[in-house]
Amino acid sequence: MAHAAPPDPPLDAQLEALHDASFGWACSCCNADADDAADVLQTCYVKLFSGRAVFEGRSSVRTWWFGVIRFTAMEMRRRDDRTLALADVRDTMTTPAQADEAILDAESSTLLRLALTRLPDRQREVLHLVFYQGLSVSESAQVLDLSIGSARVHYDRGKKRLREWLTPLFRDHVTAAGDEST
Amino acid sequence: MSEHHPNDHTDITLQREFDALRAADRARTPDFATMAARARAIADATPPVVVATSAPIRGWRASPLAWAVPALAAAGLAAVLLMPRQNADAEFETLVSDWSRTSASIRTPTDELLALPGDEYLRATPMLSTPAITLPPIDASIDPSAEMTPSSRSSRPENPS
Repeated sequence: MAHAAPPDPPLDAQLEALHDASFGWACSCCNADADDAADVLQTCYVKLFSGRAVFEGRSSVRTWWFGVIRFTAMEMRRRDDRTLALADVRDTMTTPAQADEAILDAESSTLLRLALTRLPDRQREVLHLVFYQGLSVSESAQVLDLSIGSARVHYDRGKKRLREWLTPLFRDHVTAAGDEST
Repeated sequence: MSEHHPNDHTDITLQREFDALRAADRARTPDFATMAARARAIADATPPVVVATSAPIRGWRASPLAWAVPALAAAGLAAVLLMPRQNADAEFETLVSDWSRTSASIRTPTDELLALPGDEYLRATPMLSTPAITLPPIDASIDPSAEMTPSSRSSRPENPS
C-alpha cells in the first residue's frame, strides 16, 4: 500500500532553512557585498510578506526564491546605480593584465571572491549555483532563466577562467594530493 | 545533484574553495528571525497593493442624465452627416434606371452585320395549331388491319388482268 507523501512544511519554515544559502546567493548577486546582500534579502522578505512575491508551485521553493533574490538585486542595482562591491579593487584595475595581477596578489582567503567578481555575471552566477549551492547545471539554468546549453557554456568558460586565475591554489592542491599519495 | 565531475582536479579544488567561501558567508549571515520580523513590520505598515481598473467617477459625470445632452448632440451630428449621403444614393439610382431604359432602344450602325438570314424564325415562337404536313382524310369503309397484314395481302384474289 502506497503511503501518501508528507505535506510540505510551511513556506516560512522552508525559507528559514534556506536562509544561509539565500544570503550566499544574494552576496553573489551583489558582487560579494554583504551589506547590499542583506538589503536585497530584506527587500525579498518584505515582498514575500506583503504579497508581492507569491510562490505558485511551478518550480521548487529554492528555484523560485533564488529567482526573486536575483531579480530584486537587479532592481536595486538599476535603481540605485551605485558602485558595487570591491569598487576600490576595481578602481585600481586599469587593464585586464593589472586586474589579473591584483587577483594573484590577493590573500588566499579572498582570492576566489575576487576572482568571482572579475567574472562576467552569468559565469559567476552559474558557478556559484553549481559549486556553492550544489545545484545541477540544469537547475541553475532554471534559476537564471537560461537554456541548458547556454548555462553549460557559461559553466565551462567560467571554470576555465577560474582555473587560469587560481593557478596557485591548483598547484597547492596538486602538491598536497601528491604528498598524500606518497 | 551536481553535474560536474568530482574527479577532475579543477572541480575538486573549486569545490573546496567554494566550501570555504560558504563557511565564511555563514559567519556573517544576518539572523533570519530578525530580518523576518522587520520585513513583517514593513509589510504591515505598507498599504496593500490595490490594482485599480479605472479611475472613480466623480462630479457631473456621476449622474446618468448628464450623458443625455452629449448623446443628443452626437445623434444630431450623425443625422446631419448621413442625410446628404442618402440623397446622393437616391440620385444615383435614378440615373442608373434611366440609362437602363434608354439603352434597350439604341441601335448602332453595325447591328446589321450581326443579322443572319432566317433569324426571324429563331426569334419567333412556333405556332402549334397548324400542322406542317397535311394527310388525306381517312376512309372509314376500308379496314386498316386487312390492308396492312401480309397474310391478308396473299389471300386476296389476284387481279386477272
